[in-house]
Amino acid sequence: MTVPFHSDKHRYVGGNAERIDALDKVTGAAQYVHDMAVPRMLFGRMKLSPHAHARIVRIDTSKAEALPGVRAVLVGSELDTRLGLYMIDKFILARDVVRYQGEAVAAVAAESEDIARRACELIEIDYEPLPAIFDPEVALADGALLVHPDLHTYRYMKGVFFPRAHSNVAHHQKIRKGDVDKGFAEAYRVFEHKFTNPPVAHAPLETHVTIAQYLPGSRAQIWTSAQSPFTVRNLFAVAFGLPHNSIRVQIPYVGGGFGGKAGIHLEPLAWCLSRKAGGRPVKITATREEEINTLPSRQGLKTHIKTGVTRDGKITGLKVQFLWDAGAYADYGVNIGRAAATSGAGPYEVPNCWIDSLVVYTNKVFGTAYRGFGHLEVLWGVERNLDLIARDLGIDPYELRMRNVLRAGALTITGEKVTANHGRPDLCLEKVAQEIGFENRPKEPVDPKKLPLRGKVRGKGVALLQKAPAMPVFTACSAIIKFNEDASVNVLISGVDYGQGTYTMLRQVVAQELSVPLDKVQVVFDCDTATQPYDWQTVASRFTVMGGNACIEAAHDCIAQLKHVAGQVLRAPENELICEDERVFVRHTPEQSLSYREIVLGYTYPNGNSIGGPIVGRGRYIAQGLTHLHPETGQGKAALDWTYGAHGVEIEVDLETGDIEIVHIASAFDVGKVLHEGMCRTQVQGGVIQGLGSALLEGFVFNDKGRMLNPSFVDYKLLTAKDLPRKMSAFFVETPQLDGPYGARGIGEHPMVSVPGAIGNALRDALGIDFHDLPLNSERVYLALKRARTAKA
Amino acid sequence: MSFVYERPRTAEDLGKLLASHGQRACVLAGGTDLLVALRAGHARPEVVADVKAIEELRELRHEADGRLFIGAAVTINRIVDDARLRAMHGGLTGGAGAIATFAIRNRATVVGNVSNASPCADTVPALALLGAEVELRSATGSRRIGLRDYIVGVKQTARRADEFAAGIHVPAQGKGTRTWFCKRQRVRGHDLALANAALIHDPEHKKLRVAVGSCSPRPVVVELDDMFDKPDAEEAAKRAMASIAPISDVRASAEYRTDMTGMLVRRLFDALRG
Amino acid sequence: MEYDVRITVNGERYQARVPASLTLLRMLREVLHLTGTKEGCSIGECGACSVILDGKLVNACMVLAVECDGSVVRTVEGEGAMDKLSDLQQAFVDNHALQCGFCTPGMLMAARELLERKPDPTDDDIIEAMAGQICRCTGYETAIEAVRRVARKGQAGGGK
Repeated sequence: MTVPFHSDKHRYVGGNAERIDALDKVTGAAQYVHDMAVPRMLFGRMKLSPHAHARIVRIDTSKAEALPGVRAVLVGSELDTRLGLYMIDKFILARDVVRYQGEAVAAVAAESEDIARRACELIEIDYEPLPAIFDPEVALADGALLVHPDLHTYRYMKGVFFPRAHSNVAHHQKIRKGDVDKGFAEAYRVFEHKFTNPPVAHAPLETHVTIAQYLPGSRAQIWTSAQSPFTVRNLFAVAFGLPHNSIRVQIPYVGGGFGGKAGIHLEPLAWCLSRKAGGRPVKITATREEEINTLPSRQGLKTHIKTGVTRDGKITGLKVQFLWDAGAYADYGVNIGRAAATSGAGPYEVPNCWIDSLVVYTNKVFGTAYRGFGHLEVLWGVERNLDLIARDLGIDPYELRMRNVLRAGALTITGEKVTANHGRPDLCLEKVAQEIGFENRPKEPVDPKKLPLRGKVRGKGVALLQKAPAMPVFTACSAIIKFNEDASVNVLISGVDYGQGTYTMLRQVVAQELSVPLDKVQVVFDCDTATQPYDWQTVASRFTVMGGNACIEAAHDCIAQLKHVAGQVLRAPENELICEDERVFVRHTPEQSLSYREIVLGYTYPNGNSIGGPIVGRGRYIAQGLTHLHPETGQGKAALDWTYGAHGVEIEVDLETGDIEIVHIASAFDVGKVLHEGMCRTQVQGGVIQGLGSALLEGFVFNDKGRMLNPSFVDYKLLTAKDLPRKMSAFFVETPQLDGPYGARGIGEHPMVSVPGAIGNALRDALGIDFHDLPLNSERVYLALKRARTAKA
Repeated sequence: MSFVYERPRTAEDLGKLLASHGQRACVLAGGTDLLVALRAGHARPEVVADVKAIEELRELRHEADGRLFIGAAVTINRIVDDARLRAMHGGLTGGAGAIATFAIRNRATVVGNVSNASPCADTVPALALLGAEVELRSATGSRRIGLRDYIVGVKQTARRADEFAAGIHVPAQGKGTRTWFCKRQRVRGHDLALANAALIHDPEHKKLRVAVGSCSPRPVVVELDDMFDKPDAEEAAKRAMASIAPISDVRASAEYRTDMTGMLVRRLFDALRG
Repeated sequence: MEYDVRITVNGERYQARVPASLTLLRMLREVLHLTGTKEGCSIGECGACSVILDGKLVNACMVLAVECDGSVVRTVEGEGAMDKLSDLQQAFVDNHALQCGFCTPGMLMAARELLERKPDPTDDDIIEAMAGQICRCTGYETAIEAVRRVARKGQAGGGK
């Protein structure tokens, strides 16, 4: 027998195997919570507030209760439990006061959807409308009305978040590095610019949906379309004061999340309805309108950047105010205000930096995590700001970026030292600039007054990006690998693959480490807190590094156990054994070997004596080296791994309509190591298109009463197959992450970050007009051009 | 939401149903507006009367003299796919093809698009230019009413509760008549028009007109016959922009709608010049 | 009011008594338990519920079940045979043309209907056919490419 012994090579890692979930998903066999029904299940439905801010004067549920088929009606006054991830600020149903239009005020469980709907209509509520506040800048002013007058009494995660009592500030994140006044004093020029982003919808195709059952003894069974089973369980346990092991959260296939399903949402309400309905399970399926208008969104942002630069474009000081439009509740918003501030200078070296990132309550639908966690928003301003400065200094925007970009040896704004293994934003920029021919564009600035009234013009822009997972210092993950009779394995892990392709990648990692074919590895799709090992949350592009490392350790644990048994049988020391192609070999005499199948459930000698037993591998990983950020300066180590990237884009603008067509968008990311070619590429494609949605189109529109005007797909438009760029290309730089699996870093969120900046910069190049506000929809572009044509010099 | 579903076989039976149920009944053709209204609770009928089993309402009839009848059950895609119609009334089939998605167009009907009386209906501008008439029938008789009189306001038609729209009659056009359609929307994918427009050019009668949608409660027709011999796109655009009364809403500002109306007219004139 | 609806889905005949207000989508999912067809918006905007009804692509949320008495419906569950993927399904698998998978059944139905109507579609045909299918994950390109591949193959083999 010849033995290749190729265990040092990447046989599976880096490949392009088919998705682990593909078969279920192309046949319709994949079961989502949307598809589930359990015996005796009731249908839950919410009654929503028509007002952005109002006192609840009277609720009369008697007609709803009298409707045949109604099994439970709940109002806020029956539920005194407050929920919250970091800031415990939200009742399950509004009590006394509603704080945004679309907020749930009452709920019904009934025998059918139609009865539940009818019952909600029959609930009578009298409101006393209150003045409301919609602009975070207004909400920040002295004497502004308070969205949460009792903020000073709320429980919150202390030491990490800093709410301001008797104000609308849910969190104030400070970053202080160097002396920003000195930085400005040293500057050749100081620039000030403002930028805005509207709140936007995640729009997963599967809306939020949950089935919850109250079990005897105050236990809970929950099936839910969520990203983080253990976070749902933990927040649930904390909210209701229940032991964790009395709550079971199960997550089958999930139809998209993008951060919107990272926390806890409909689960407590469904469980409370079940409790009131005598323990019958209750399913709540958010309508599309509720998904947009009731469930959380991405926060809006107002950015004010002041930048000091030398004559040759080196940044000497940066002072930034980020005003986050949190909406009515803090949810993930406070952590976005924190995390995005640590990226508030972008991937650039800034010696003197002062950032105030304020997360401000308003009377709008509340914000939560959304792919990129604040970075798309922050980098819109950062990347546009650099182009504005570059133009005024007469420096090429590419050159300006290269002069300031983070390189090994630099200190980030939180004091983290950049090393050679951090990744290379400069290489990403170089690549995309080259791809779109950034160097070859006409350099003379365009005068919008001289543009023809009709026709099309082109422009090119580049933008850099960076993001690290935003997570607590103790963020951890674990994995279990169980061997089956045929030496195949089931991998149990609690990060949820809701489409990113993580499990497809983890299958490769486990196959690689165990040296078994891919089809011998099943990563189990139904996440179950009762049977699967702990994981913090599926967010932040953290699962490649954390899940990958946990799986590698679990595989190594299996290998050690395999060797331990095989060593006894083969009479060889374990360190002389090699596991390869589903066999354990003696290195010196490879003809001596055992198949995994002979060992994995225990080895039986010819005489019947048996040793070993079922092999179960255990792996774990906890984020390394993170520190708490200093409360006053924000200094510390916030990031496990930074993924850097860049976009280069060429656009064509229709001068008569303001339409932007993407001629080519090139994107490059330093992922450390491409673990799965297809999964990396499809994350980039999908992410770039989602980023284009934010750049060109998406954003909530409210009337002056705070009513959302586009809460459905009729007026909340998403890009379609007709709206794609003419050309998209993706490139990967591989600067290994020292502690990443095979050197890899995360890539889930990054593709959408900085797409708006690149487009905004290309728009400036094409039209000679600077845009500060998203989205860059046709109307905005057209009207800006119209004004610029007629503006006095 | 509980109602009786009726599927009459004849127009007479449908007339009788509406005579007895009146405002408590809704006519169902493609359903793509009605089902949305049912779900939202905006329509709460006791009876839903499906027209699709009525043979004569399924007719798309080309008369020898060039007249056209589009029955109430004729889907959008049937007229988009009708080669003869495409050649004859490009503005109508173009508008039809710009509605929603392919799957929706397989259900939605032309008569429904018109009868929903939304200002942004994409078949209305061309039909208005072609002088289309809506045939309204009831148990007691029938009448024909010009399209522009049929649509009396936003989501309002001249149909009485006992009547149904049996179809649309398009008269024969002058020899060599051509029409074009142009639409402005927020994405290239399916979207409601924030402005739309059609152009008719009838060399026999020296008729040149533009119709604009989405910018007024009712379709606006702008007569440009005076420039038939010397079409002036800029002047036409100006006149169209002056004829409309657009609102600002979530889809667009009145200013953008106005300017885009001008743009659409200019593009229609581009098409006219070929 | 409730009505008897006789319907053939993926070659199997069903009969069910349903309220007049029940959509075809809800009948498929809740009465016949064919949950492959998804609900994404209920107003005909997203295409997740696309099925082939009497040979035509429709959004099942925009059709009442009572309208379908005597009709023939095809859903994702009828695409391909047991343990044998259809060419389209295989192309979606090979091309990583799905992520969360929630829009995939509708996409497959839209693509299938196109290939039957136009076995030799142009790129514009493919884009027009797929444009009614909203996908938040993939950015569409992989799905368009999957349909392209099947079309090319069909062409090489003389079509269906």
